[in-house]
Amino acid sequence: MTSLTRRSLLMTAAATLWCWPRCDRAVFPSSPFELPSSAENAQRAIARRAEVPRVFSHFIEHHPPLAYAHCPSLCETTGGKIICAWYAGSHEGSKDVAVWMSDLDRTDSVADRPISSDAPVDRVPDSEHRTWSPPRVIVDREIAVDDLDRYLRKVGNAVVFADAQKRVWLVYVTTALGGWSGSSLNARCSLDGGATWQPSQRLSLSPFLNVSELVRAAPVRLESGEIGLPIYHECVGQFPEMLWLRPTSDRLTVTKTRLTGGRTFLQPAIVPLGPDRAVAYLRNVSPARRIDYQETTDGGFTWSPPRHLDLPNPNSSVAALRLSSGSVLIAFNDSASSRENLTLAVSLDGINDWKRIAVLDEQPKELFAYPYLIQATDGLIHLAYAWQMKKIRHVAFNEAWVERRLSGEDGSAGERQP
Amino acid sequence: MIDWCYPLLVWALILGASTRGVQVLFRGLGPRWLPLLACAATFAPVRGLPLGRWLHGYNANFSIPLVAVLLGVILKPWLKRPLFNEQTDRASCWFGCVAGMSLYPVALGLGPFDLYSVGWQWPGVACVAAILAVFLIWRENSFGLVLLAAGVAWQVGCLESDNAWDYLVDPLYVALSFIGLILLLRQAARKQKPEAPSSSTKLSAAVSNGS
Repeated sequence: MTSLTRRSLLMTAAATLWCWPRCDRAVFPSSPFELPSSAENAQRAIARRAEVPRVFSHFIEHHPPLAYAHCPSLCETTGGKIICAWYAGSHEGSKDVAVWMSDLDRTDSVADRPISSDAPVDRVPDSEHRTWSPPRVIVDREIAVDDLDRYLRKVGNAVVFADAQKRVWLVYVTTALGGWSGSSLNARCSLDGGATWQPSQRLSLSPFLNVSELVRAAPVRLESGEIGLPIYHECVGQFPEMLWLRPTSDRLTVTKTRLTGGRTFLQPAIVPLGPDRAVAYLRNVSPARRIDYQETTDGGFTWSPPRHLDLPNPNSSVAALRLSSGSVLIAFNDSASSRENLTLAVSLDGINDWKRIAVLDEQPKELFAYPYLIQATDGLIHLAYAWQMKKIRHVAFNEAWVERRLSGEDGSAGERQP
Repeated sequence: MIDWCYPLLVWALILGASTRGVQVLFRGLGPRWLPLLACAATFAPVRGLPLGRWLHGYNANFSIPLVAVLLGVILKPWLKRPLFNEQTDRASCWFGCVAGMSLYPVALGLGPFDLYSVGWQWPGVACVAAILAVFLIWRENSFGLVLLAAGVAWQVGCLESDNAWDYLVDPLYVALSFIGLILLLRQAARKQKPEAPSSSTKLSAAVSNGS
């Protein structure tokens, strides 16, 4: 074989190998955000007007208690069951930290037992409404090491969500080296609503040793069945990203895009406002101490530069949700310096004119952090957050309660919920 | 399965090449087969897993050019001539430096665009890799074959990652490329430096000047 023939064959091989599409290659989704249809929205609006304002709350507790519980997330599975996943252990980052799960069966919930909006959240006796199942471990260090066949030091933040096929996914953080900036993301799938879990899958998302990708906020669903999961990077730079997930059987195919670069923003909470339009609310680590926001008009691929909202942020996570009225509800720490309160506020357009509707918790020198909001198919809004970093508090309310608080009919809009 | 074995192989090469590096540093310390023993240690079971799989926790995605560099280091004592010639080394070092400098600052947060995400797109990094591989093979530079091998690995899915960047560069390879490039440039500078005039030349110059 002549040199020219040999070279020609090798060149053809190289070009073919690199240019031939891989059958399992990840692709960026090009589908609009999944939103309730206008008919669904109209139905919800009618139901909202007829609804009695309801609010209830309870704690998800460990028996025996654990010293540290943090970063809850919620999702609704088949039959309206609400799942909560969080991590807990002796302290943050310890080797005994595990991701725990508990579920609230809709049939047992107080949704069937309306409470007047006058009933204060924290006066509802917990014992009366404690319907969360006893917490159980779904991932700990040993399970993750066993699944991933490699050394791991600790597990951390986790987010649980369901896809269009009602498979439940858990995306969780592990680290092998260093602090949280050395984190990598992993995924586990449950095909039976969280009862049993498939082995974990490592997600490769960063060229730099595949480290420094973390998860915190709720995902957004696309009409195609794909999922946009907000994540963030913490090593050297601190910036928000969007992870695009395509669920296939019990695995995820991933790609990602960036919201903004730099060293200032973390933990984006994304709220779709239209098929291609969404707002991302950002935790701000800069001295500005304001929640920042970014907007997209192309389905989350490009975002406007971050701008300040008229809400403070003590370098803490926020959660947000679009209500059926089109308003945006946000749960945040209403302070520029501490996480001593957890507050709800509503804005008509999600950017301007925020009205505080309730303070759910407030206590000096305590921490109420990492809120997570979802709206179930029955219209009930579920909020979970770390209560004094010792247990997880769950508060549920309906849109009628939000409207009552917003209108100030009970004379308490913006005041602490007694 | 292949993405389970591949990191094991790379960790074996890393341990082997490190041992070989220590041997060179200490002028032939230990027998010639010591690097091979170090390679074999990667497969030793530790609490039910090969040692290399435990090490895998620290880095999942080693690139194909790194494998080529490590193979070159380990096989050197057994081969009559180096696995890669100077021209290939130079191409490898320049590629590692340029790719690393383009990718890492952006991936770590410089600017609003993430160059790493291009590795999932087509035509993206894969297309650039194809063009570069074709060019180098045409120029009979063996680094083109390394890029061809990276294409094979990408199609087979040797790494946990689907991103084409991960098949082409990794932090260890980029670091080695920088070191290699500095050594190559220093070597080139030495070659270009004019030789110091000898005493006989000085004498003849003095004679011709009439001093």
